[in-house]
Amino acid sequence: MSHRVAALAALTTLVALVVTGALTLAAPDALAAPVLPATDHLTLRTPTNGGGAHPILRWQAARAADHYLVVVQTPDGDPFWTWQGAATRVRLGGGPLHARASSAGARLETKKVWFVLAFGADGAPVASSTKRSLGP
Amino acid sequence: MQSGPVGVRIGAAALVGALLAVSAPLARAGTQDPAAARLVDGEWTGALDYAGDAAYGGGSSVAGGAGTLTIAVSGGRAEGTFSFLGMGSSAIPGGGSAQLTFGGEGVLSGDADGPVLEPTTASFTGEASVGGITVPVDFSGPLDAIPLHITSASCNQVNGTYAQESQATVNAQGIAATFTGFFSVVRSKVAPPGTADTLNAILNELDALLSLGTASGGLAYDAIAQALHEAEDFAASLPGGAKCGLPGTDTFQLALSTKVAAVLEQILSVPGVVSTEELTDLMYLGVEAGAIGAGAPDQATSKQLLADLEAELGKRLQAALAADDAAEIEAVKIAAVTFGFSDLIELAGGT
Repeated sequence: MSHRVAALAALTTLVALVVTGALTLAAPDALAAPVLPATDHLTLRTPTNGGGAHPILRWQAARAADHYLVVVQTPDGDPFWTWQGAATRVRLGGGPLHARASSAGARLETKKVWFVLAFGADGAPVASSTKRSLGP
Repeated sequence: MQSGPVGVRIGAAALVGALLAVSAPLARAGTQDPAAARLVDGEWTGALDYAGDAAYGGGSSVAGGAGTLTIAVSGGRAEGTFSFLGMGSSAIPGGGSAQLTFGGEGVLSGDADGPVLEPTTASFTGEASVGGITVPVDFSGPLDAIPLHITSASCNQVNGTYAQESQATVNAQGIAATFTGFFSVVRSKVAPPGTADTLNAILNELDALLSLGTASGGLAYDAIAQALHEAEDFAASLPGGAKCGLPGTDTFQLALSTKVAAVLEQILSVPGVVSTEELTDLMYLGVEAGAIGAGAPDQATSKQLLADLEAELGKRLQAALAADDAAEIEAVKIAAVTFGFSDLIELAGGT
């Protein structure tokens, strides 16, 4: 019985801390925060690894989107590669989607993160994804 | 050059001088890594590109051209040949003008990390006129040696600039000149057919931008984007990741990386000619091209450019905040998120 009371007390304390904001539960993925929270959510569709040096980056089409900005960054947040266009997929490094897997150009040799922003025809952002890990 | 009225001779001579003084004042001396910035042993083929303008005593000249280049490197020594062809025009004080075509060829020598162009023949033909008098121009002879400065190098592609030294000579003569010279070569064994022509086409796309400082304004974003995508398509046709003794790298280069960096630097010298949207779009292209960012082989140039860009965006953000310009604030914030400018993100109100 005493164990049950102690457990309830602990649980109550934990809930109180969370409710009051004194304790923030760690997100399962530290990259889960959307890049632009005020915009609609945009879903990334490329696996976090296994795509080789030039993975095909894919994402869900966003409503009212005219074009997209794809950003690949180092884990520290430095820009590594970007792309702008109307398509919802692009080969990292550019070039034809079916180009040789080991070609020159921007190559994914080490782990990066990436995200996508969607813009309307007026240039205003309409959707954004979370940052997501990307490995070769 | 044939004799003629003084004004004609001065104008034509200045134009010839401008054509000779192809240079890259915008390109910094920094390279990816002194040990890596070299041509590895093998056969190489590629393109030379140059463009520029000059102003002198009330006159002005513009010139542009292209060439091809082949290099054989063995034991750290480089040998090769090159040829070039171009056109130029000059406005002479007093209402005169000159138009010339020029061409030539030569040999390449030097070390794998410091090859040198040695023109053996060069000719300048055309005509110059002033005060209603027109005279033909026909000048030929050897030119001074022109060092090539390698700015990025991988196993299969090497890029760089040339003629910085000539720029200094021209400036010392009181001529305000903005000339740029670039080269890009690919290892012959992996070079697709028509490589030199393809590289020249890619480089030529950007020439119009390199006189932006004297232009009326407006950024040819579409031309840059088109050239960039052509360069990416070309890169996608080349094998990457080869082992050739160069240090391992997470960087990449395209035929126009160095040139895009020069465009960015020139834009930043006259930032008022572009809107924030144009500036940020160009920055995104700069990252895509490997001119700036973590993928840029020339990290010294990249870091300086990014610092300058951050400062420029900071000025614009401060102005936007003062004017309560929500669209401008948003544009800067998005760029700051993309480039990891944390101070600007915070100043813009965070994400």
